[in-house]
Amino acid sequence: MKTRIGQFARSVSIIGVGVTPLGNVQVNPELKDMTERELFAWACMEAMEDAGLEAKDIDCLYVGHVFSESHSGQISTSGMFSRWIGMNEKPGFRHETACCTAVSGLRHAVLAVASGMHDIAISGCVDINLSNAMIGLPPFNRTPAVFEDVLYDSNALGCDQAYWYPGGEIMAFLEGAYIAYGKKYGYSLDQLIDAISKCSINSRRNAMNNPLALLVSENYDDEAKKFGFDDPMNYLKSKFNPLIGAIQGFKHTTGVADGASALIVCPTDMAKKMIKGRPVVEIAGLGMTTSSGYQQPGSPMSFDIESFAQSFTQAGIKDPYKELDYMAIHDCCAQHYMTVTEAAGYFKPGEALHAVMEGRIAPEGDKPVNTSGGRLNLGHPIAGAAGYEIAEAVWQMQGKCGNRQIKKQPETVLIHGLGAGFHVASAVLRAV
Amino acid sequence: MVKMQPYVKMWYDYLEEGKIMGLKCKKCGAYEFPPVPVCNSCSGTDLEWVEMKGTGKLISFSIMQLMDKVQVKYGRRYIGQVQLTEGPAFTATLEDFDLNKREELYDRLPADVNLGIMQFDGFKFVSFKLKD
Repeated sequence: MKTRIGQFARSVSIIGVGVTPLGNVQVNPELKDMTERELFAWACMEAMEDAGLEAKDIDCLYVGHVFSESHSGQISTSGMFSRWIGMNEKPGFRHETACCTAVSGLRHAVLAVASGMHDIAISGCVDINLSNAMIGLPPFNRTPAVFEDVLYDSNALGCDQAYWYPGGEIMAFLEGAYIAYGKKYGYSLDQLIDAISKCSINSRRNAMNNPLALLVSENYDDEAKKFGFDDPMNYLKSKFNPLIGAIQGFKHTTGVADGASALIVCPTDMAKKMIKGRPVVEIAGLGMTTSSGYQQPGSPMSFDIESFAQSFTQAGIKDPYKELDYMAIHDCCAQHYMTVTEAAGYFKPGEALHAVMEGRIAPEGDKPVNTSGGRLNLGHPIAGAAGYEIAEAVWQMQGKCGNRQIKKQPETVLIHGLGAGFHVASAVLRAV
Repeated sequence: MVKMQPYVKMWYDYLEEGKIMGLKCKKCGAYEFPPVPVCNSCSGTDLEWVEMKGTGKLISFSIMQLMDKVQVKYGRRYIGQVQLTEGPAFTATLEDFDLNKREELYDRLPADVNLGIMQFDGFKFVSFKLKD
């Protein structure tokens, strides 16, 4: 069903972003012994510092926390997090739309400011996914999590649990979309496998250039050599990348991580007065669809198309192929570099597979995607996931990405978030 | 006055009787499968139970290799996306096709299928088979 899209009552921009490194609070020294509270506060305090604001300056907060019950043993965590960032008794609430929670948080914050109700809003998102708090003990006492139990038994991602059947959840229909994509454009299964391997190699290279990535330690060239392969493409086709689907292997998909992201928004005219010497990043359009992925056969998926259409309508984007300089996708599966980018019109129908093989999605390419390393290799913190891509986009637009920096500093960016196969949240960011 | 029904229970009860049922909107004729009480095509709320034709097209597939403690009871299997003849799409288990023949299955897409009913651990659910 089509949605009527209006315009914001006033323009809103991002004035601060903050993220933690992505790793494991039980392993990585940078995060060791931290609970959700410290991670959330870390990201929010970084965003405040980036914006040049103190907690008292901010009017409201939105807390994205997906696995608060299962991993943290606590509901309504916004109540405690408000005090952890110095915003005790300010308005706010906890929300979740799984892996696109941070885009939903951006939406909440933007709407609060665009409506005129508040001037400055913060959205912070956090999850610890690799371990569970132990009920009855202080929460730095944790036991390793079995993520598959949470995903499959409890949630049947992308499916209505009422009509759930074993094995039909999110990985099946996301890979199914790629199979349908290949069939539509006449690609062989080998071509499809090569393309997702190429995406993984590009993503790992980007993550190795990102100091936030604690869970990877070497490029695929070096990893492949350790296992006796001169070519990482052959390594990714070998038994060392076991299949989890019909064609996709473990290394074509994401691993979860612990981490938090945050952003602060305010009216654009206020942002222009506060920010000097770097572009102000306006939220030019927002899109959001709610649906069940298991009822969306083929590619492109209609909930992607509709979400992007909403964002483009609001932002006045007529030709995304020409107008978008950079795209950030939710790359929990490598095939999204083909199926999702084409759903957005960032690539022409059937073009993305060749673009990937030709290296065009790399930071130095003409159509860069996920220069951060994304979910495939930077890591997947669930609630905060898209916050890392929003932060990366802002840094790219401000020329702060170092050896990941896109050649032409992007001015118009599309953000994509996919939440559990149930939500597609999108946003157009524009330098003003 | 809304007259709500226990749709989920009724759907599974129908499966026990060997019937694959959906809801048809009396206003626009669109189908809701599996059943929900409001038409997602026209917003109509007057829907009637109808037996589905039991046919469709297999659009794509995956193989579920990563199994948790529930799925391991059912084993590795193809999962396919089926567009039903009546319109709705559904993702379901493909019965009786060799897991080592993914290229053959890919070549056959889009393939005609018949819906079926499988018995699992205490309940029945909808599956499908390729037509010969």
